[in-house]
Amino acid sequence: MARYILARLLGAIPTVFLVLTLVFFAMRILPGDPAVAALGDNAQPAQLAQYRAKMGLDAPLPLQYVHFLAGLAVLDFGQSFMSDTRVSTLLLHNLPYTIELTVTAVLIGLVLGIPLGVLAATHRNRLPDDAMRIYSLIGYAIPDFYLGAILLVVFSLWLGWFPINGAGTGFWGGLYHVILPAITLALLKSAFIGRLTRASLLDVLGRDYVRTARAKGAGERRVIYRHGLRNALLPLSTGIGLSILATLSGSVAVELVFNRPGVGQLLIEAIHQRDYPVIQGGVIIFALFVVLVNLAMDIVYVFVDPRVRVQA
Amino acid sequence: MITRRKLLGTAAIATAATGLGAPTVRAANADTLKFASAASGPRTADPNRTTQGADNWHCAQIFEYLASPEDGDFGKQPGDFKPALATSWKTSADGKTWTFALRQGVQFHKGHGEMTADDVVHSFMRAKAGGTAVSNYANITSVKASGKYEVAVTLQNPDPMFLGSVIFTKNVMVVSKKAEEEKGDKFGTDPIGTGPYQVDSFEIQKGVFLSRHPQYWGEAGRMAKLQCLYIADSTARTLALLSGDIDMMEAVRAPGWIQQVQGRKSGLHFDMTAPGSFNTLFFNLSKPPLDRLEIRQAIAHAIDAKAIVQALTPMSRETYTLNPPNYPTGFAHDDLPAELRLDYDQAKAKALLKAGGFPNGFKINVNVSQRPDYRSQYLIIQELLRKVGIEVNLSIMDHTAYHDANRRNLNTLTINSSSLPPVPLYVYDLYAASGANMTEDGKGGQNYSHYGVLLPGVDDLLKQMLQTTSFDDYVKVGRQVELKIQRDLPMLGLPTLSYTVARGPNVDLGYEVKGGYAYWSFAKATITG
Amino acid sequence: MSDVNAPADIDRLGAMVAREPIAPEPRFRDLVVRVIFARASTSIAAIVVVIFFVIAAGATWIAPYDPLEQSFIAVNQLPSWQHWIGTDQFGRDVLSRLIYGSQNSLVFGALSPLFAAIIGGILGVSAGFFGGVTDRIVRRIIDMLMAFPELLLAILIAAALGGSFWNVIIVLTVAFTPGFARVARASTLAVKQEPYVEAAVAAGVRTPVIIFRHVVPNILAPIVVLMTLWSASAIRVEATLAFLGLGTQPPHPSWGNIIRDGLENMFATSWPILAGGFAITVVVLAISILGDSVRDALDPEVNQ
Repeated sequence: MARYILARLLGAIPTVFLVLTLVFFAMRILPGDPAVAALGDNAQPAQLAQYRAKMGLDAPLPLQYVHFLAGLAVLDFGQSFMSDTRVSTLLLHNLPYTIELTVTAVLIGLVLGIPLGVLAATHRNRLPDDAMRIYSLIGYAIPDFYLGAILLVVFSLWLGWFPINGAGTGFWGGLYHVILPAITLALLKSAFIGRLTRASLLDVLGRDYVRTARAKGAGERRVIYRHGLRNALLPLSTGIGLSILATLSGSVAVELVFNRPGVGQLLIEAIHQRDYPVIQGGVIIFALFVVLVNLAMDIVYVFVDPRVRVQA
Repeated sequence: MITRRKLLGTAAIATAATGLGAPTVRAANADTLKFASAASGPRTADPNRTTQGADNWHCAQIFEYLASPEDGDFGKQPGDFKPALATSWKTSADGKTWTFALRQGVQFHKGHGEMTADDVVHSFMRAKAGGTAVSNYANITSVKASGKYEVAVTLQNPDPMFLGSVIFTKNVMVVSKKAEEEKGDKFGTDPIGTGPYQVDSFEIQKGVFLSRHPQYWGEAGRMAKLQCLYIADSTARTLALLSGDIDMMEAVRAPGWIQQVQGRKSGLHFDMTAPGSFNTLFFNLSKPPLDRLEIRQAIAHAIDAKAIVQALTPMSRETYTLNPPNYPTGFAHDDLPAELRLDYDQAKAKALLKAGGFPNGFKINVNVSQRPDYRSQYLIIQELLRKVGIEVNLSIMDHTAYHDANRRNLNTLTINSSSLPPVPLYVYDLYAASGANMTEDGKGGQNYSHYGVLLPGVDDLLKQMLQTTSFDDYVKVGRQVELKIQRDLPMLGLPTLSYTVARGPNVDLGYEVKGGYAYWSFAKATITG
Repeated sequence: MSDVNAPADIDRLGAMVAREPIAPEPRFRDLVVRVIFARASTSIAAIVVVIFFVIAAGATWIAPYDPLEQSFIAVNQLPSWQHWIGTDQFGRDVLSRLIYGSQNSLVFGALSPLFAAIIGGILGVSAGFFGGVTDRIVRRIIDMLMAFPELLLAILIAAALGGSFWNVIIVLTVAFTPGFARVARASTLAVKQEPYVEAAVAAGVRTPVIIFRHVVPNILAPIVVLMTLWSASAIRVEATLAFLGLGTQPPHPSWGNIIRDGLENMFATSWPILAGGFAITVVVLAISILGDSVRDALDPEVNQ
């Protein structure tokens, strides 16, 4: 098992590496000067030159790339152009907020989605099932940031039930601030999880052992929860992995709508300010996230289905 | 980023939150003033290193100048400056040596001792040697301590505006020499000055938290604590003010914003600097047909300044020449010779186009920054020029790409927005001198017009200005420069845009803001109720 | 995945061809009839999509105002007879901006899946048909890119490229290509095992002929399904990019940046936000319903 995980981790390195290299060069080839962004519109030429030298921006591109890789090797992402802060500090400061949001959203999504899916599966082709279908289609069609904006306007601006921005401190403060953005992401994900639950439950319920259980006179409720759902949850793990990734990508826009700290907000701002080191740091974090979630999904698979292990 | 919140209605959640380590809910915490600026987080609290305007706000509470004008304005002439860390000063007969007598007994923050001439010399020398405004101090040849409480500054050329051009500039605010040497790079986040407030904590992406300096030499700050917070998102910042999370905020300089927030909360105050940002439209003389005077005049007459002012009311004011009318060398409309008044007149613009050889107008490609303040000006101008037959094809780009293009001679009509002091020579040197000519390699200055290179400019007059020893002579020559620029029209003053702060109904600043830099003191502020 | 249902679809679509190869000449007219008249919902969706097309194509004639034209006397107006959805902070007519924004959405929604289908199709078919090293390389690239949710991939690429028309097209195309490649590959593998293809190979028929006569017609159906489904995704992703300031740049209207501008101005009027989001939702919904229906029509087993 350990060997399998190690192999997969090593296998992920080229992915992250490729993405980073692409971002590194594309960013620098395009017009736009981080020195102007950092020093302001009225910076004088001498000052700009001095700044470029200090930040290593005057070196030839390949050399900059070597420096960048050398830094990466010792987990040094460099210094933000915009603030006198290490990129790692910025990332560590923002990462917990993004994780807080993602985890809360996925949990809410599961809590809402699984019962909906069960309901749809047990009432197949009847009203709950149709409603579920419509819900999932609409859930898919509404952009995260639009739903977020509506929730913000209604619940924070008009009703004043929730805070309008920021992240809060302490467990309850954090929860209070994370709820609305998390619900934004969760509503859409619950539609997906519900649909997936329905599909895998229907699949399981059609299997022999469930038929046997039914034939032996087990109650319908027992059949669904004891035999059906338990077995249906395993394929659902993939779905959960996918929703984590979906929530993560959605969090970028949602953090912006709710003006919440987080890696997404940090990344978007860095893009607008041409803060290369922070962009690179943000990209690495997101790429690692993706790789790890995919890896976790695969590991769950291995546990569930020994055949995969043999292949690995 | 702001994390505070207000009791918003759900008593249950809020009570639970307070009970369990959440920040205390603030109803009206009358001893803390919270100000939010439009940036994502503090970069530094060292006034010689600030690169974003927002950081000057906390610097202005922490550090002080040798001399400064009354709160709430620039010093527009030498008599406007009042003693601060210096109690008096005198100028030598040739106007090249300025001697300052320092205030005695001034204590630095957190027990860093008394301020002496050494600290002042150090503060000046470090601004001349490095930092964000080195070129501004090029005229200084030496700064020497001539006693424990006396400092002499010698200049290469006389400078009647010295108090405004050097003394009242943030880079030479007085820092503790000992503290800076001890702390090194950390000085930026743990600064030691003499101002009424000292730094308690400097938190990235959040803000700078200050408390009253107990040993302040002057009248103590009225609020016990200050928070200089950062909320980049304009909607979130506005909401924070409306909900009472913060007491003051950097306003959003967008059309209609003031009216909208007034509609949501009554009693808000708006502090505005006049003029605030200069908005200057540079005609790139190397891009035909902008090399023709008639075409430049046509564009000037096609721009309806009043429409721009109205769109941004009450933050915008008309400007009739390069410098705004309330600056030493600026002109009011009626003071200008009739032929130099660039009034909005479509018929005249069309006639000038015809005289310039383009009776049917022309098309021109213009680069535009996506930053909202630039974008809205360009959009308005595009619309106005369309009415006289000039079709402006805007290509919108990232703000730094825009500046990069401007600096590499890739733009045609360049707008530059900047908050400039009433120091005429500084403005001319920056925008109109041939030495500031913008070049294709991007290493030149901000004379985006190539004035003085492609068209005889004002270099000789500037040299004359540099030799004047009295303020009156200085202004007299300066006004000639102003008129020559208006006649040649390589650049055009667009309406100015005030830097604006919105203030809660119960917040009293303690003085009226009329002008000055885009940051001011909170030492006299109080919160009532 | 912003498009969380996409991966499941891909596997299913790939398998679809293996299970029940579609006849070399797809019966398009039957298909269209079956798709549109399957249910009331699909008929409505079809009408919505047609209206969307008409509005986008005829924006110049339909829009009551120039979407860029400003008016200082008509700033932030609420809906009225002159301005049905009101005006924005520059006095621009919001309805006209939405109408022109539909053009934007249509272009991105149609072009990027098309480009992605072509590139992905070529990659997938060559991988599936030639196998060996080609297959390994293509599979490697697909796996690498498929690991990323397409919205996230788009954001990361846009982070490097910045927003302009062609950059957004590139971003979206790259984001969608792996999906097409995977389906094309799976379908090609399935078709390759068909006796008539094996026979053709054995008979020495030239490769391009086999590919164009036997392989391409067979993979067309799943590709068309994906294109419909993903034009909805493309519209969504483009809107999100524009919202983040990485897509279509103002003053040019796009549904995403109308909402972004609206949020900045939400104290004055919330109509642009509401209307912009409504437009995205309705169009994406309609296209997804049609896409689902196309899939059901082509793959009757799934929805039993």
